[in-house]
Amino acid sequence: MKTNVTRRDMLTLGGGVAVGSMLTPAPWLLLDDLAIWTQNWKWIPVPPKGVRTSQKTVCSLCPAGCAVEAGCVGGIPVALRAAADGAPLCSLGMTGHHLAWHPARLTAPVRVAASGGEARLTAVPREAIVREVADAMRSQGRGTIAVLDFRPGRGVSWAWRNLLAGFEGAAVIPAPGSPGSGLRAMRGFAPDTQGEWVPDLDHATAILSFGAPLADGWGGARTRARLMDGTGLRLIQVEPARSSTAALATRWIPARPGSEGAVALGVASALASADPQIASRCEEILPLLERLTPERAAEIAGIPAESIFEAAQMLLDHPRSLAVPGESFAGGRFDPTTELAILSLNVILGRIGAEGGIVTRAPLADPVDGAHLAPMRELDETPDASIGVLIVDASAGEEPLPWPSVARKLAPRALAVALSPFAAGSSLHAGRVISVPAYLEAIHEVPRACDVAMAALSISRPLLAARVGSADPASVVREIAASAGVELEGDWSSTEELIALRTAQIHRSGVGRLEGGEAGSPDELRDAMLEGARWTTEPVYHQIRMSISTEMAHRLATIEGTRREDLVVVPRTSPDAAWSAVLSPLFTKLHQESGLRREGGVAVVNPATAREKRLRPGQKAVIRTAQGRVVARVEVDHAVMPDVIELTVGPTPLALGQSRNRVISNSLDVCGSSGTGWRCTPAAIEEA
Amino acid sequence: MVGEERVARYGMVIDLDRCNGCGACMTACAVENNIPPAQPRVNERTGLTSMRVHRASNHRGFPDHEEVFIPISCQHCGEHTPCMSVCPQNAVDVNPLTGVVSQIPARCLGCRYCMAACPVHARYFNWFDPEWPEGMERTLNPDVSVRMRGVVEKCNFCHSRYQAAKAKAAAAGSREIDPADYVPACVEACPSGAIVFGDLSDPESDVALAAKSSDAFRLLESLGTDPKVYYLSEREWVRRLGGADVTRDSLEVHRG
Repeated sequence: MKTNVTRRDMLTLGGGVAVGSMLTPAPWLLLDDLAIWTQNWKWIPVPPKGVRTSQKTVCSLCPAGCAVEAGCVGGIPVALRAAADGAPLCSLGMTGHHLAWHPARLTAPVRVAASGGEARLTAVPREAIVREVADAMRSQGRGTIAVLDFRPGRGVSWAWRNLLAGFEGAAVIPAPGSPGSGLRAMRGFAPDTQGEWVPDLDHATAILSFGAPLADGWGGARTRARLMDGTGLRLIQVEPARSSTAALATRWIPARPGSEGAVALGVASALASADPQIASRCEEILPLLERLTPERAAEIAGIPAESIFEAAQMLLDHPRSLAVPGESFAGGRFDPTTELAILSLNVILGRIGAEGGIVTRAPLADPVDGAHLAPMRELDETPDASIGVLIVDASAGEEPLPWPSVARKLAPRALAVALSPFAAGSSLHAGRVISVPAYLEAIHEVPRACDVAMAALSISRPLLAARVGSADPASVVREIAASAGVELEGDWSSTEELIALRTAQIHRSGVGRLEGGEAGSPDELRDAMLEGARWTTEPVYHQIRMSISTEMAHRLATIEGTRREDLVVVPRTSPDAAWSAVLSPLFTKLHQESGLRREGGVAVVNPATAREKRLRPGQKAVIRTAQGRVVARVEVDHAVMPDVIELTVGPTPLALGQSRNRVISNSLDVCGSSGTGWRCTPAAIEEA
Repeated sequence: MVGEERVARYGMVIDLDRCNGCGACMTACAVENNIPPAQPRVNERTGLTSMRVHRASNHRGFPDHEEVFIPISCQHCGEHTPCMSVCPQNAVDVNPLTGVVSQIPARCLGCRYCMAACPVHARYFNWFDPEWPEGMERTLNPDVSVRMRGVVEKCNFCHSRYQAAKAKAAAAGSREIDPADYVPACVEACPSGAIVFGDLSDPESDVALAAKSSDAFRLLESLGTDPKVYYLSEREWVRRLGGADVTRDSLEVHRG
């Protein structure tokens, strides 16, 4: 028997062990374990642990006020879902709990210094800002005082009006495009009407919509559902792009941007020719309608005249029909004359105050009855270079607004102060920013936007503790008043107390009802609303005969001279980006990691326009307008109308939380001209 | 039946005529599954979007140009599941009780064979360590663990919700889960109600009925992998997209 162990034997053994081990689980377990070990480094975030609870609140990020059920761990919201039977939350609502930790979140009041297109922030005590504002208000040496309110209709909005009541020329300006001011062109027909004029879309059976984004939630969930189901609603959509609403409409009329007023008058002309009774209601503009025939309007809009006749026939055929000027998420409202032309259709059809027509919505009760209030004034009614002290209240959200349209109203050496949770949007243009609580950090009111006929009020209950260094907007009003020596009306010192006063007033009035709850006392009403119940009223129908005045006829006559611009720029953004200056970093999924949405600063043109202007996809181009210039990246898309530049206004790297650079410039700033909105602006484009 | 449990065949039907490309499904998926936001250098090829909405068009000029949005996630192939066939680590698992194809990140070695094999490019590689802005990690879903750099991940029809539904059924003394308790995040989030989810093997279920519609089609059906995600459209040019190639970095599904 061989007893010597040779080198060959050792090698054979080693080889055997190696081959044999492959037949055991050992190496595979080792690989598995290695994989597991290398996935648990200390820098990999670990999901939170703690007691799980479910809390109810209301989303205050947009005026829809969706009821929310928040899943919380250790008291921190980790998931936001629609409450039972509620409409699903949008992307903004689902990610709202991220905003409190957004990189652009402000945790202290700051002074903003602009340098080379970027803003530098320096912490400054709130008391110093409050004192500066109060001193400027007292002296009024710089000009008038104004508050630019991005969410009018709140209790805090009332407090601002009460604060400014004692100052001559002072006014609260609802941010253009912000909810709460209704269809303002209707005020020309009935200046003394209490409440807001709103479209009763839910009860209309036929809608001639001028760019209303009904499929994206504008007009309420019920109208959207009817549009999606394709039953019981005829919709003709007049819009330059085949939007999601246009795609679902019965007919899409691709009218050139800026020609909507002409289309409306073309439809009015067809209606007046078809029905002598209608002609009798528009005697003041009959000569204009005889000149601006459907054929002439079609020529201006670049559409077949049959489209205009079809729209007129639809309005005639349906007793509950309606023409509505929609808001563009980036472009805001139509200019007042176009809005007047569109709303005149309802006047001549006798649809004012009728079910499914244009109705008035009762105003929400103020926290204190009969208080002295400063007037509300539109931005374009404010004289240029007149505002000496501007307070921008963006504490509850912020819609896209070209800052030059505000800056034009500021006097030299004007003081601008913003209330915002974020160093983004308008607050970067103001010299000082007072940090306020973000969504879910404080109680917020949610009055409905102008797109729904029912007045409604919801309360968003806080689920997170407010950050140290952020101030309640209502207490800021109190502090400014105290420093300026102004006596405010009512016994309140915080937003919560203002809301309590308001709910008590609502309960006392006995008007409206509570959806999803009952209330026997003011406290019960407030508690039910804190649990997600919504107070609402039904529209009241009271048909009113109105007529077009001579002054209106003169304004409408200017539409006849609408000329076809060679090239126009039209701003575009997504519904989410329209309500908040910042978005959750998870929006990178939509804007950066997929091609679903374009980021801000992209100029999209039709291939024909690209050829004509010698533009190539991906290259940089300069867009020039009367407002200035902007450099944008070019994309080419058949979906865009020829001779139109769709300029995307949306999240920048800052807004998605990836850059610390606080970029001030905004592509929207080149849009718009004095007094006429910024939906459509003549422009030139060339290779950069 | 497997043991005493009923075998389900979970699937989805997506009505493309209702989808308006809002992206709520993508956001909901990222929130639910603790998918981190993109870092600055991430692009369409290196992003993590277990549910991705692609855009496709009829390639016609304005105003006849039409677009369709196509949400594409893992198709949960029922036959010859390509990713499972190629995985050297058994990191891809098909649950015999649900038919759901799952990725087991703890086993994954990051070879990315499965990504090459997936015909719809619905698998994603973690190129970077997951990072959230400071403090935001406190909002992570406690039911889903965070995956590290170097592993592949994909849609698993929100497995944590399936587990929660099973736990709820078990607490009630049942082995059968209530269909209302198991709804993936994208389905729950869709504001248009374009996505229907359920058990395809239940002939009475909404999803099974919708899948039998004459307007229904599946992506790359000719490969014979029996995907469990169906699409609906009344438009013929959209239905033809079912045979098209899907690319990761393109905005569109190219016509075949």
